[in-house]
Amino acid sequence: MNRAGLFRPAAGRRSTGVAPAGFTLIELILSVSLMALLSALLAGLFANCRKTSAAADTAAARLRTEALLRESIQSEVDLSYSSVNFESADERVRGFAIKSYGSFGPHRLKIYSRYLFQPDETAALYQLVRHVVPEGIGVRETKDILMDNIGDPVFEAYSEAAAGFVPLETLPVPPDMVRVRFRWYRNRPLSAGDIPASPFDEIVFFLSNETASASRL
Amino acid sequence: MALPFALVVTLAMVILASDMGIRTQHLFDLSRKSLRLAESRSLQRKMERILIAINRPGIESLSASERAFRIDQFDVAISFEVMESRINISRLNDLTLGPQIQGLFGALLKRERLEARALPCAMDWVDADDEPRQSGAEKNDYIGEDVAPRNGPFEMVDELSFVRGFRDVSAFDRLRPILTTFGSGRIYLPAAPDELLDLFEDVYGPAVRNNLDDIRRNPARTIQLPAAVLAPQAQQFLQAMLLSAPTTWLVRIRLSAPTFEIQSEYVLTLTDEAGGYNRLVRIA
Repeated sequence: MNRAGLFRPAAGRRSTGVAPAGFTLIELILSVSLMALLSALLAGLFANCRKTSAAADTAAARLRTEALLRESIQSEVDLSYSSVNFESADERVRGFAIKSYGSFGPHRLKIYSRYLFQPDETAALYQLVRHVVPEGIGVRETKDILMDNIGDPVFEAYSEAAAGFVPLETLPVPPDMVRVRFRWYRNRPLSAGDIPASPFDEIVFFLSNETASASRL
Repeated sequence: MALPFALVVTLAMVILASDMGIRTQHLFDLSRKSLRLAESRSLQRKMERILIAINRPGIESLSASERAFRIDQFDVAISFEVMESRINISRLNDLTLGPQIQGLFGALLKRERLEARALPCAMDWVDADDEPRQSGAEKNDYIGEDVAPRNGPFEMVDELSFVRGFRDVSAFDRLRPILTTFGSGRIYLPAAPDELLDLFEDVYGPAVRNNLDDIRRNPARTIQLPAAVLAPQAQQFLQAMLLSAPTTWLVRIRLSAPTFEIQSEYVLTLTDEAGGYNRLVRIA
């Protein structure tokens, strides 16, 4: 063996006329280090893509939940035959109720549905819960948790006197249009102290306190 | 060695790209659907306003057959069904029409072989008292079922499935298309299906059915049953049940666009007063 290479024939030795087979040590070292570099780059790229994809999934799931919530409430308001009523707890408006033609399990009935922001077990956050009971026939009500990890639910209405939105409970008479606004935390904060700093989406939707224009007439 | 590695990397990139493509497409579809939903709502509102103001000739021309047309990017289909071609169970306890409706409803239950107690139980459900009639069922009979009789008129047909004697799901599904809780409770014969005439036959006999069938075929004819067919009181009863012009329709509106379809149902009650608005209730 000489210093030029592992498998290369020594200088001055007569050539056999056959091309030398295999790689030199330098070639191998270079290719392996290039592969390692490429792999490291690609691994970073893959990890990044996976993170982006997981974030997109989470965002899509949250969007879907939000869209379903809006659609569910909107369709009940559309099918309602009375105005929206607001419910209070601890002197704050914490929910609303709609009477509508809706689904109760497999049945289509006149139903009374209540959407309430109920404090969860930590009492620092809220759950949005929907209670449904068919009107007048005494069937036990159903209860669905629509959203978890909600903070600061506020019912507001536009006040010309204040030139802006004010909490509903400060108005003597509920107005026609009410804005419901709350924070929807992306993850459950570990402690009550973490709540303000946790990432959240702001959800805003409007409740018209009029019955559907059709049935009103 | 480099070739398999390049192949693996290329394959991984292709999988990753297609996966991201699918996710992007899904998000795009979702946003497009939300947009269509918002657009369809404004179109629905416009159609509701038309229905509230429509008059009888307008309904008659629209209800002749299902209409399909295109508005913006939506295919719209609208169909009318006369609700007074069904038995109105919300009038079971009605002072004037109650006995006739009970007769037809009882005949329907017999035809569909529901339990004998079904009719008394339905009557107990709607009457105001808590005293069960013979083979009926009142509040005490529903204890432990989380259901209590309404002691008032049925508000939706599905409510009937809570009543004792109507728990057979397949039998109830057969009843459903011929029942309603909307309308005057009277029957508009030209729109009545054969099944309803069969019930008239069961209650009043085949001669009455033939006469009713004649009236159905010739809507222009005055509703007048021959005196020989029925006793005067029964004839008066039956005459009160028949309607010369419908007043309530079930309106189905279907809006469809690529990757999107929404269907809504309304009950339209016509107000014949000049300048008056029709009553429109969205039920689905």
